[in-house]
Amino acid sequence: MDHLMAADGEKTSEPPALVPARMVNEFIYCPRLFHLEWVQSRFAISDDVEEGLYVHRVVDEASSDLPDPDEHLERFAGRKSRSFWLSSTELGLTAKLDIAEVDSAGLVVPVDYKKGAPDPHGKVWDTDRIQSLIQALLLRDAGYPVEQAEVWYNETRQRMTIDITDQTLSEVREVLIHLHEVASDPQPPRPLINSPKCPRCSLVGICMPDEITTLRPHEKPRPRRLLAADPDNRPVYVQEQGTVVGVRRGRLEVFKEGQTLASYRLIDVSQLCLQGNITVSPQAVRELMAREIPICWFSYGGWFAGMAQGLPGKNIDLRKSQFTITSEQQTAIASRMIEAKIRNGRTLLRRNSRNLPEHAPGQLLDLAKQAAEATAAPSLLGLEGAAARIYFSHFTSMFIPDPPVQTDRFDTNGRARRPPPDPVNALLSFLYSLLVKDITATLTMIGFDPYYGVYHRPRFGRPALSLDLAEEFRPIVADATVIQLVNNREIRAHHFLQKAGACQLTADGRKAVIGCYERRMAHEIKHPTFGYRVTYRRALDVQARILAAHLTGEIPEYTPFTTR
Amino acid sequence: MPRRRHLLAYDIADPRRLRRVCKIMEEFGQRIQYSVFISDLSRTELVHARAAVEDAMNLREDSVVIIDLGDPDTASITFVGRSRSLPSDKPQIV
Repeated sequence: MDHLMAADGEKTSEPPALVPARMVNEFIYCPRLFHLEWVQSRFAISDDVEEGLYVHRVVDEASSDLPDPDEHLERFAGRKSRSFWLSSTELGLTAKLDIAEVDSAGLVVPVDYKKGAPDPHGKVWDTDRIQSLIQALLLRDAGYPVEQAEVWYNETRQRMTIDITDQTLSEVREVLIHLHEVASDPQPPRPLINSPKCPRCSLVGICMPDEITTLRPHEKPRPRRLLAADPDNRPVYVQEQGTVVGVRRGRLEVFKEGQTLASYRLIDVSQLCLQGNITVSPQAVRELMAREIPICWFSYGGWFAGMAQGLPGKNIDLRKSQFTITSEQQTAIASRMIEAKIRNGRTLLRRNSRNLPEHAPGQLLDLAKQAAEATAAPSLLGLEGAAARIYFSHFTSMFIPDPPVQTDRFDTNGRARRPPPDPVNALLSFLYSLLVKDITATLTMIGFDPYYGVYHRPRFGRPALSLDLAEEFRPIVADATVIQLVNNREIRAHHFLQKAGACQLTADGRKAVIGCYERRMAHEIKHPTFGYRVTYRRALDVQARILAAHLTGEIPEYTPFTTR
Repeated sequence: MPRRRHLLAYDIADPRRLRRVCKIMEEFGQRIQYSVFISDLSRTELVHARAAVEDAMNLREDSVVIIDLGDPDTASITFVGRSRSLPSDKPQIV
């Protein structure tokens, strides 16, 4: 079967030599799922899979070997061999057999354990059948006589039989040829369209079948609610100075002077964010990396200083396309992002402003339209700057008439950074760094290099791509949080310290801002493109994946996130 | 999958196994009484917790009870006397 393994000269990636039978099973279920898992090494935990593994605990304890195929197998009738691997370089396959039994006629029968039930017609599922055929093929390859295979369905407690014939085995060979074709293409196959398989698939949040199909031209959009549930875990922020963060008994614990200040289950932690002088134990760093929980460091003043994550994202084809797209493509993406930033700022003003001059929304709309048409980065910069001046000149009109913090100084200062001179600028700067932190973590997890952007130029220490993607979310996530903080009087004058022309948030102030920001991120909205309800946190993740799908050529253009 | 609130309680005959089971309980839940924990778990997390506890116990001598209390937002728990904090999904800020 050497021809199966031969790499096609046109194609760039070559799959590893042995394909596990489980991956063949995924391939039958959905070729795209197979590509995501096997070629791109992308996995997601699914309740069904984990419960399946639990059922497998019974057969996963390896015991007693099969007798040698040269022996008189009849003498070993009734012997069972559990949980062992069989491989064949000739077939290019490897499989873990749950059980292989020797029957009274001296034939070997592979038995596969399944958590679920047979298909609606009471037959063995196609995927399960192919997996059993592969096991039979491998047993035959090792010299054992095999004429039947069995599948055990745990839910209905049924044992089903499959006949092993030359015809059924040639079916497997055809599947393998097709599988190797798909595996050697760096681009994944198209998603299934309107398939009932998708809602139960663990990778639905990564594959995004409906979103990709909706954004492809000439394909009819049909909104479904397939989105993977929001994760249950949340970031942990530590800003109490002089504390030590450690991991003990599966919990993240924060100590100060021998006292435990807080203790969180590690399964509840999505990020560890440290502000100022906090120590993290090396054991904690390793445990967090093993669990793919990023650690984000901020200066005491709130500047996002860096991030540590375990191994980098495995999606190498995405990074490759990120670095090889043309500058025209980069500008095309950037122009849509800036268009969305201007539109979203305009929407925020129209919703919240108390005395917006009539001409302002019109001016912003014109600038947004021009930005969408821009073909060069310098003209885009000019349009963005013009829009920002209009937007920020009306920013304080969105606050209540007697705000709890001084806001009039923002009108004279305008948007100013490093250091922010007034409370409103201090809030904006702090929130932008929180937003950039979350976007950097999301981009890194998906497999992007956050330092190479499409609009912001690469410069030392600036996550340019995060700043790019942040543009469309700044008004609706960060700026909206400032309005909420001020108008709900969650932030007060005593939350700020004024020092040598710089305005800084106190520890209590930062706590209030983080709390409000996290609430905003957990806020549910109707997705403007896909129509389902999502949190801003998940919308951000979807946006990053749309960018990835565009860069790898799956969808023809980048569609930004714009609220109505 | 959304998490559900569970009450976990244990009776372990041997002090060594007791320490191991207790450690797993602390990893997955919040202690509300000496051998009683409250824990919000997804189906996957429940399977992991159960498998870990099963490995640590002697199934003939020890016992662990898992009671599903339903949606964490509506499960009603009353403390009489000294109370302990319950799991929350509020932002985690120290």
